[in-house]
Amino acid sequence: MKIMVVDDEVEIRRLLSKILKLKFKNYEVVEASEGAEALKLLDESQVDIIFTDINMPNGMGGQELLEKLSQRKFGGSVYVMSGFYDNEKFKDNPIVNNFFAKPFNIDDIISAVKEVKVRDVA
Amino acid sequence: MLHNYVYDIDGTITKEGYDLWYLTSLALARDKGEFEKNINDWKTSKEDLYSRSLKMMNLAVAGFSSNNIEEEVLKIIFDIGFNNLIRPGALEQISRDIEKGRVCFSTTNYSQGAQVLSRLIEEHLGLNPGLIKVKGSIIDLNERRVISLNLGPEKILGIEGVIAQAYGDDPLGNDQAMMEAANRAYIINTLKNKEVSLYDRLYW
Repeated sequence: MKIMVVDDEVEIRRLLSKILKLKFKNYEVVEASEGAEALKLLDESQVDIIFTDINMPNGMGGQELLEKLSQRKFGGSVYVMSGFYDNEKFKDNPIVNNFFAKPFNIDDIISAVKEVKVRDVA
Repeated sequence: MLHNYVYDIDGTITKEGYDLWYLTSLALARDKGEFEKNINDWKTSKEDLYSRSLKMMNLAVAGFSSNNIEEEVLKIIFDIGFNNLIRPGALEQISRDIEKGRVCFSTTNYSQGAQVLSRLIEEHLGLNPGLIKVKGSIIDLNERRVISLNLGPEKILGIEGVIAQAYGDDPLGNDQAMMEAANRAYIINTLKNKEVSLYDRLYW
């Protein structure tokens, strides 16, 4: 299982990745600082879960990344993390599994990964 | 001769009010009310600092709900935010000192927690992992007891070479030995030490 964290805020990206690596020791966690880097990583290997920020001004933003994932028919789980938008913007987007308003509780992210794990086992 | 630049962590590298040992122990406490009671007993105890601190840490460790110190510390830092937790002046000073000698973090906090913070600071400053030496209290997580309490004179025990500079926020207590042993010591300004007239004062 591979998880990708897409966020332009380096400390958030780094800390979230470290926590996920510690919590899910058998999972690989990769990081991207914006959408284009995320798509490049997706070209290189399969990713099962994506946590993505939306507002990433120095590169491809999360909204465009969601569109690209949709075009590619990405089959994994996608979670949006944003401090700028609310759930309304994403609730009808079929590619988005859930939305986390920043600042979010890290346990909610861990629960999301556990849910995917359970779904996969089932 | 190796020149060491020794930093206390809680209140010195972290901003005032963010005591990582307290936050970590509280997060890991099975019974948070009991933990707070132990903290209060520690504050009011007439025993010397080392004895009452050892007793309190043993009680804290015995009451852990899990052994995942690293994960709890990461969660705490994530919740607070790295930039909200760490004094920017400390980061600047560490990057200057690393050019001059060996930077060592010496804390009474659990060594696992100190290691997590040290790695994050190394990453933030673009330093190689492990470049900063870390000295913290050693815990036997299987037996749930303190093996070595890194407090007072213990904070500089085993640090080979000269202590060129020391940075602390508790010059009359936990950081006293460390600051006295240094060629030059700096006191990090906090409300608790504002009346102390020893050492040069830094307002990080």
